[in-house]
Amino acid sequence: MEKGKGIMGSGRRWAVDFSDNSTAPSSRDIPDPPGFTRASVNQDDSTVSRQKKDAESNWKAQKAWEVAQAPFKNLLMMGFMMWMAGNTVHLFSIGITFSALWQPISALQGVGKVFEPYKDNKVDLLGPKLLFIALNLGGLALGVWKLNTLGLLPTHASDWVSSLPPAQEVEYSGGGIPL
Amino acid sequence: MLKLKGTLMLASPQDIAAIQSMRLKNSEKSKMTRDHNGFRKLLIVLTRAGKLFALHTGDGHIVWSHLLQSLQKSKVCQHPIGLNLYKWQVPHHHAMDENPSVLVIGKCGPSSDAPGALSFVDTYTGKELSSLSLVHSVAQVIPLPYTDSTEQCLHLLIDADKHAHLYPKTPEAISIFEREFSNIYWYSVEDDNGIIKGHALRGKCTGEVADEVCFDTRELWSIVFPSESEKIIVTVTRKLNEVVHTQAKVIADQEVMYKYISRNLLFVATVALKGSVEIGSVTPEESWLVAYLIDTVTCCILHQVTHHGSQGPVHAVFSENWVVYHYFNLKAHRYEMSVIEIYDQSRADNKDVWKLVLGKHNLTSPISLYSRPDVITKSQSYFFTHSVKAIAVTSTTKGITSKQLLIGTIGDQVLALDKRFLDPRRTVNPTQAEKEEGIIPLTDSLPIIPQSYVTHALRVEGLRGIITVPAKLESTTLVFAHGVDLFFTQLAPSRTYDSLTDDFNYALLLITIVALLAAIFVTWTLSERKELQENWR
Repeated sequence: MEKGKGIMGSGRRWAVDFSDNSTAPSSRDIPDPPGFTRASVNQDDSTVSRQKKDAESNWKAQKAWEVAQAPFKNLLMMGFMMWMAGNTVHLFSIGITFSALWQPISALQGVGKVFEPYKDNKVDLLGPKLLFIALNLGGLALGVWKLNTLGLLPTHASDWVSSLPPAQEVEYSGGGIPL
Repeated sequence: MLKLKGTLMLASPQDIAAIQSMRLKNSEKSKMTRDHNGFRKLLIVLTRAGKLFALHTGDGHIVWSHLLQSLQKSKVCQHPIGLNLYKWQVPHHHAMDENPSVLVIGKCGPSSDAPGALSFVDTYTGKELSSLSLVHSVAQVIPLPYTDSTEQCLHLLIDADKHAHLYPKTPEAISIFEREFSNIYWYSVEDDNGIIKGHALRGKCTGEVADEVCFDTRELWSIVFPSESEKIIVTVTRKLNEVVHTQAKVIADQEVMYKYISRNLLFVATVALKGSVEIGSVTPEESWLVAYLIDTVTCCILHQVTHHGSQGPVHAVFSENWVVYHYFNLKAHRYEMSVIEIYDQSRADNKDVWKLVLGKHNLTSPISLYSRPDVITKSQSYFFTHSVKAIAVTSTTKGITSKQLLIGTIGDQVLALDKRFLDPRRTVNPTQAEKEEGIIPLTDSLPIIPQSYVTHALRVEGLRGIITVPAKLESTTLVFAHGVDLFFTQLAPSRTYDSLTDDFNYALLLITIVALLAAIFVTWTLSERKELQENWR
């Protein structure tokens, strides 16, 4: 900016003089904006930043807990949709069940990414993360249970027995009416 | 040249006939080689006069015919009668060197202790490979389920003195037989005095007819039917080469019933003495029909049911774990068909899923008939309007396709009736789960659907028997009905679910696949290009 000053000179109306006024409170050529009190400027820098950081970490913790509880609403909605889908094997019911199974899995894969904006030295993310994982596992369990009620899981004895070949017989007998 | 004339519509009627016969001769179905689906087969038939024919299943022409010398009248054999054909050798491993051969058994006289005559015939050429005239008679022939290294099937010939002779007379066959000696039993049904006897093998023959391959037998058990009230009219067993696919039957609500599948079961039908004459000449009070299911190894009568007021003639067929038999009901003045299904109750305890997953069950281990079987039977009867000459059941290579009963009616036609109509679990009001399983609601008579006649508008004159043979294709079975006329067809009881239709559009499929691949490629490159442009904006 000195270059600008040097070339243009003080005759130019819009030459801006960037001088730092914050450390020289005695300069009164620029009036204060309305509502501004000089008292707050007098405080120490470290306290300000500490208070700011405290507020920020509180906010982050609160947000993290809220994000951890978000799957619960998803769970309820998924549960309702699966109940609507019915007990028969149709396109809709299969689609809902598989999306109910896929959503928790993809959410569990992206746990780190979900909680990244709230990463902070002071905030303990373990609690919210565990809650998030637990709720998603609950959603997965719901999907698996729905799969079971549709009859697609091999939980009955007939699923394992129905392909067994007949047992061989030790004795052999033949004969009949004489020729 | 002739074909050109035919296409230009210049052919005379004789030319058209010549073109037709040429087309038939060169068509796919008359070729003399094996088919990929197993449809082209040679039918070997033996007539009572001792002449052996081979018919081609494509169009029924006679490939070769052979009058067997050993069954002709000669010094040795005075009054030869051709008796039966058995599969002798089917070489799978030496298929290029040897042809399959059959064993023809005849006997030299009308009495039961006339000496027998054997003849081995090559099935592809019709030449007689060898012949044997036996010193002993042939009362019964039991084909054993063992083959030796040259793939000859072992047979046991029982003579009138109850000695068993093993054929082929080779030391290897003897060693194979002696390994299984204690597991072989045989039974004889004497219908004139109403006795069924079961025998086991004892050891080598003693006496003057001592031979390497002669074995003594001893009687194990006998069932004597009271001759003043019962007379045996029919005995039926399962076919030897029948294949059953699974031993468990899954019914409604994912429950399992285990079929009692045993090749050693015998179905016996006896009628009251007065009832063995023509229909209608006895009153319902003095005629009854008793049906038995007898285990021929342990003499255990597994099931017995009496139909009062019924009489013969009885025609029966036995397959897998069920028997279907047809008789006349005097009280209702109609023919009836009954079905009996046997299930093994002792296996029903296998309900623990974890044990089944880990394989800790004994459902596939070999079973011995001496362990007391715990069976339950289910049976039902239905009215049937036709009188019947013969009944058979369709058979396929793996036993997966559902079965149809082939009923030869008195009008010399063959009717195909789905086995699901003869299901003893039919009820008047089936539950939702039973309907899903496919159980038809119960009616008192079996429906005769005119479209299900296998013989369409033809009649097989003098129908005597129906034989079914599995083809290589699982959905199809080959049916041969014989009498005075011969009739052959292919049946697909569950429609042809395992082959594409003849007019399947392969070209359209290929074009669709190529077009889709091209579309995928084009849209991929377009989207990549668009993304790149976005990033450079």
